[in-house]
Amino acid sequence: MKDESSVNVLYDLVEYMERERKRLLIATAIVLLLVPLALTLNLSGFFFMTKRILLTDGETSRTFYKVGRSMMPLYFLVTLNALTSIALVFLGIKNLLFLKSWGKKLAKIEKIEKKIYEEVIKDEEIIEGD
Amino acid sequence: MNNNYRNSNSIILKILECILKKKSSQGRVLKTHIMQYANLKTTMAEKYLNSLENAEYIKRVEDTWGKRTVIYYDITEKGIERYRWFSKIDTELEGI
Repeated sequence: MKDESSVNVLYDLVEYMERERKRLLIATAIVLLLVPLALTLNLSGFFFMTKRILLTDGETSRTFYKVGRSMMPLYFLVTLNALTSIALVFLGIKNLLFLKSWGKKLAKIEKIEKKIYEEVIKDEEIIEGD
Repeated sequence: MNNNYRNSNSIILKILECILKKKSSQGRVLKTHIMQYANLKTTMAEKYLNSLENAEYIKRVEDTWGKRTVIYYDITEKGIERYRWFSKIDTELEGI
Protein backbone atom coordinates (compact mmCIF):
# COMPACT_ATOMS: atom_id res chain seq x y z
CA MET A 1 0.00 0.00 0.00
CA LYS A 2 1.29 3.43 -0.88
CA ASP A 3 2.13 5.71 2.06
CA GLU A 4 -0.07 8.75 2.40
CA SER A 5 2.23 11.74 2.13
CA SER A 6 1.59 14.65 4.48
CA VAL A 7 3.23 16.85 1.81
CA ASN A 8 0.32 16.13 -0.53
CA VAL A 9 -2.25 16.76 2.16
CA LEU A 10 -0.72 20.07 3.22
CA TYR A 11 -0.20 21.30 -0.32
CA ASP A 12 -3.79 20.43 -1.19
CA LEU A 13 -4.89 22.46 1.79
CA VAL A 14 -2.67 25.42 0.90
CA GLU A 15 -3.87 25.42 -2.71
CA TYR A 16 -7.48 25.20 -1.56
CA MET A 17 -6.89 28.18 0.74
CA GLU A 18 -5.36 30.21 -2.07
CA ARG A 19 -8.32 29.52 -4.36
CA GLU A 20 -10.90 30.26 -1.67
CA ARG A 21 -9.13 33.43 -0.61
CA LYS A 22 -9.32 34.77 -4.15
CA ARG A 23 -13.02 33.94 -4.39
CA LEU A 24 -13.79 35.49 -1.01
CA LEU A 25 -11.83 38.62 -1.88
CA ILE A 26 -13.82 39.09 -5.08
CA ALA A 27 -17.14 38.43 -3.32
CA THR A 28 -16.28 40.85 -0.49
CA ALA A 29 -15.14 43.55 -2.89
CA ILE A 30 -18.38 43.25 -4.87
CA VAL A 31 -20.48 43.45 -1.69
CA LEU A 32 -18.51 46.43 -0.38
CA LEU A 33 -19.01 48.27 -3.66
CA LEU A 34 -22.64 47.37 -4.29
CA VAL A 35 -24.09 47.78 -0.81
CA PRO A 36 -23.24 51.49 -0.31
CA LEU A 37 -24.23 52.20 -3.92
CA ALA A 38 -27.59 50.49 -3.51
CA LEU A 39 -28.18 52.27 -0.20
CA THR A 40 -27.36 55.67 -1.69
CA LEU A 41 -29.73 55.05 -4.60
CA ASN A 42 -32.44 53.84 -2.25
CA LEU A 43 -32.13 56.79 0.13
CA SER A 44 -31.89 59.42 -2.60
CA GLY A 45 -34.90 57.87 -4.35
CA PHE A 46 -36.87 57.91 -1.14
CA PHE A 47 -35.95 61.49 -0.16
CA PHE A 48 -36.49 62.74 -3.68
CA MET A 49 -39.96 61.19 -3.64
CA THR A 50 -40.93 62.60 -0.22
CA LYS A 51 -39.52 66.04 -1.09
CA ARG A 52 -41.66 66.19 -4.21
CA ILE A 53 -44.75 65.28 -2.23
CA LEU A 54 -43.98 67.91 0.45
CA LEU A 55 -43.43 70.64 -2.13
CA THR A 56 -46.79 70.11 -3.77
CA ASP A 57 -49.87 71.87 -2.35
CA GLY A 58 -53.62 71.60 -2.35
CA GLU A 59 -55.13 68.28 -3.03
CA THR A 60 -51.81 66.41 -3.11
CA SER A 61 -50.67 67.93 0.22
CA ARG A 62 -53.87 66.93 1.87
CA THR A 63 -53.48 63.50 0.44
CA PHE A 64 -49.89 63.44 1.69
CA TYR A 65 -51.06 64.55 5.13
CA LYS A 66 -53.36 61.60 5.18
CA VAL A 67 -50.74 59.34 3.63
CA GLY A 68 -48.02 60.90 5.85
CA ARG A 69 -49.18 59.08 8.88
CA SER A 70 -49.20 55.87 6.95
CA MET A 71 -45.64 56.61 5.76
CA MET A 72 -44.20 55.56 9.11
CA PRO A 73 -43.71 51.97 7.95
CA LEU A 74 -41.84 53.37 4.95
CA TYR A 75 -39.43 55.29 7.21
CA PHE A 76 -39.03 52.15 9.22
CA LEU A 77 -38.19 50.18 6.08
CA VAL A 78 -35.70 52.80 4.91
CA THR A 79 -34.04 52.83 8.34
CA LEU A 80 -33.96 49.05 8.31
CA ASN A 81 -32.40 49.15 4.85
CA ALA A 82 -29.72 51.57 6.06
CA LEU A 83 -28.99 49.51 9.16
CA THR A 84 -28.75 46.30 7.15
CA SER A 85 -26.39 47.98 4.72
CA ILE A 86 -24.21 49.29 7.54
CA ALA A 87 -24.13 45.80 9.05
CA LEU A 88 -23.15 44.32 5.67
CA VAL A 89 -20.36 46.87 5.22
CA PHE A 90 -19.14 46.13 8.75
CA LEU A 91 -19.11 42.39 8.04
CA GLY A 92 -17.38 43.00 4.71
CA ILE A 93 -14.61 45.00 6.39
CA LYS A 94 -14.24 42.31 9.06
CA ASN A 95 -14.00 39.71 6.31
CA LEU A 96 -11.35 41.77 4.53
CA LEU A 97 -9.27 41.97 7.71
CA PHE A 98 -9.61 38.21 8.15
CA LEU A 99 -8.52 37.63 4.56
CA LYS A 100 -5.58 39.96 5.14
CA SER A 101 -4.35 37.82 8.04
CA TRP A 102 -4.96 34.75 5.89
CA GLY A 103 -2.82 36.35 3.16
CA LYS A 104 -0.02 36.98 5.65
CA LYS A 105 0.02 33.30 6.61
CA LEU A 106 0.12 32.27 2.95
CA ALA A 107 2.96 34.73 2.35
CA LYS A 108 4.94 33.10 5.17
CA ILE A 109 4.42 29.70 3.57
CA GLU A 110 5.55 31.10 0.23
CA LYS A 111 8.69 32.45 1.89
CA ILE A 112 9.55 28.99 3.25
CA GLU A 113 8.94 27.43 -0.17
CA LYS A 114 11.05 30.04 -1.92
CA LYS A 115 13.96 29.55 0.46
CA ILE A 116 13.97 25.76 -0.01
CA TYR A 117 13.63 26.14 -3.78
CA GLU A 118 16.53 28.58 -3.95
CA GLU A 119 18.76 26.37 -1.84
CA VAL A 120 18.11 23.18 -3.78
CA ILE A 121 17.15 24.01 -7.34
CA LYS A 122 18.71 27.46 -7.82
CA ASP A 123 21.03 26.90 -10.79
CA GLU A 124 20.19 23.26 -11.36
CA GLU A 125 18.36 22.34 -14.52
CA ILE A 126 15.54 20.04 -13.57
CA ILE A 127 12.89 19.84 -16.24
CA GLU A 128 9.49 18.74 -15.06
CA GLY A 129 7.82 15.81 -16.76
CA ASP A 130 11.07 14.10 -17.64
CA MET B 1 0.80 32.22 -6.67
CA ASN B 2 4.04 30.25 -6.67
CA ASN B 3 3.37 27.33 -8.97
CA ASN B 4 6.82 27.79 -10.51
CA TYR B 5 8.50 26.19 -7.58
CA ARG B 6 5.63 24.39 -5.90
CA ASN B 7 6.04 21.24 -7.97
CA SER B 8 9.74 21.06 -7.25
CA ASN B 9 9.19 21.80 -3.58
CA SER B 10 6.59 19.10 -3.34
CA ILE B 11 9.09 16.55 -4.71
CA ILE B 12 11.90 17.80 -2.48
CA LEU B 13 9.75 17.55 0.62
CA LYS B 14 8.43 14.13 -0.35
CA ILE B 15 11.99 12.87 -0.69
CA LEU B 16 12.88 14.24 2.74
CA GLU B 17 9.71 12.80 4.20
CA CYS B 18 10.41 9.42 2.62
CA ILE B 19 13.91 9.27 4.09
CA LEU B 20 12.65 10.29 7.52
CA LYS B 21 9.80 7.77 7.50
CA LYS B 22 11.62 4.81 5.98
CA LYS B 23 14.72 5.45 8.06
CA SER B 24 12.79 4.94 11.25
CA SER B 25 10.96 1.87 9.97
CA GLN B 26 13.50 0.14 7.70
CA GLY B 27 16.83 1.74 8.58
CA ARG B 28 18.18 2.08 5.04
CA VAL B 29 16.51 4.13 2.36
CA LEU B 30 17.29 3.11 -1.18
CA LYS B 31 16.72 5.06 -4.37
CA THR B 32 13.88 2.73 -5.33
CA HIS B 33 12.07 3.57 -2.09
CA ILE B 34 12.37 7.27 -2.85
CA MET B 35 11.28 6.82 -6.47
CA GLN B 36 8.22 4.91 -5.37
CA TYR B 37 7.31 7.31 -2.58
CA ALA B 38 7.74 10.50 -4.61
CA ASN B 39 6.45 8.87 -7.79
CA LEU B 40 9.56 9.74 -9.79
CA LYS B 41 11.22 8.26 -12.82
CA THR B 42 14.89 7.24 -12.57
CA THR B 43 16.33 10.29 -14.34
CA MET B 44 14.23 12.75 -12.38
CA ALA B 45 15.02 10.99 -9.12
CA GLU B 46 18.74 11.17 -9.92
CA LYS B 47 18.53 14.89 -10.61
CA TYR B 48 16.64 15.66 -7.45
CA LEU B 49 18.85 13.45 -5.31
CA ASN B 50 21.96 15.14 -6.71
CA SER B 51 20.50 18.58 -6.09
CA LEU B 52 19.54 17.65 -2.55
CA GLU B 53 22.99 16.25 -1.95
CA ASN B 54 24.61 19.42 -3.29
CA ALA B 55 22.38 21.49 -1.03
CA GLU B 56 23.45 19.26 1.87
CA TYR B 57 19.92 18.19 2.67
CA ILE B 58 20.76 14.50 2.24
CA LYS B 59 23.89 12.40 2.04
CA ARG B 60 24.75 9.34 0.00
CA VAL B 61 26.08 6.42 1.99
CA GLU B 62 27.81 3.41 0.46
CA ASP B 63 27.63 0.05 2.16
CA THR B 64 28.27 -3.53 1.21
CA TRP B 65 25.62 -6.19 0.95
CA GLY B 66 27.36 -9.47 0.34
CA LYS B 67 29.64 -8.82 -2.60
CA ARG B 68 27.61 -5.90 -3.84
CA THR B 69 27.87 -2.25 -2.99
CA VAL B 70 24.59 -0.68 -1.97
CA ILE B 71 23.93 3.05 -2.03
CA TYR B 72 21.40 4.37 0.39
CA TYR B 73 20.40 7.83 1.45
CA ASP B 74 20.35 9.54 4.81
CA ILE B 75 18.99 12.91 5.83
CA THR B 76 21.32 15.57 7.25
CA GLU B 77 20.63 17.99 10.10
CA LYS B 78 19.96 20.69 7.50
CA GLY B 79 17.46 18.44 5.75
CA ILE B 80 15.66 17.71 9.00
CA GLU B 81 15.57 21.42 9.79
CA ARG B 82 14.11 22.27 6.39
CA TYR B 83 11.50 19.55 6.71
CA ARG B 84 10.57 21.04 10.07
CA TRP B 85 10.13 24.41 8.36
CA PHE B 86 7.64 22.74 6.13
CA SER B 87 5.90 21.14 9.09
CA LYS B 88 5.52 24.66 10.47
CA ILE B 89 3.01 25.30 7.70
CA ASP B 90 0.63 23.18 9.71
CA THR B 91 1.12 25.51 12.67
CA GLU B 92 0.72 28.54 10.41
CA LEU B 93 -2.65 27.26 9.29
CA GLU B 94 -3.91 26.88 12.84
CA GLY B 95 -6.62 29.32 13.78
CA ILE B 96 -7.96 29.66 10.26
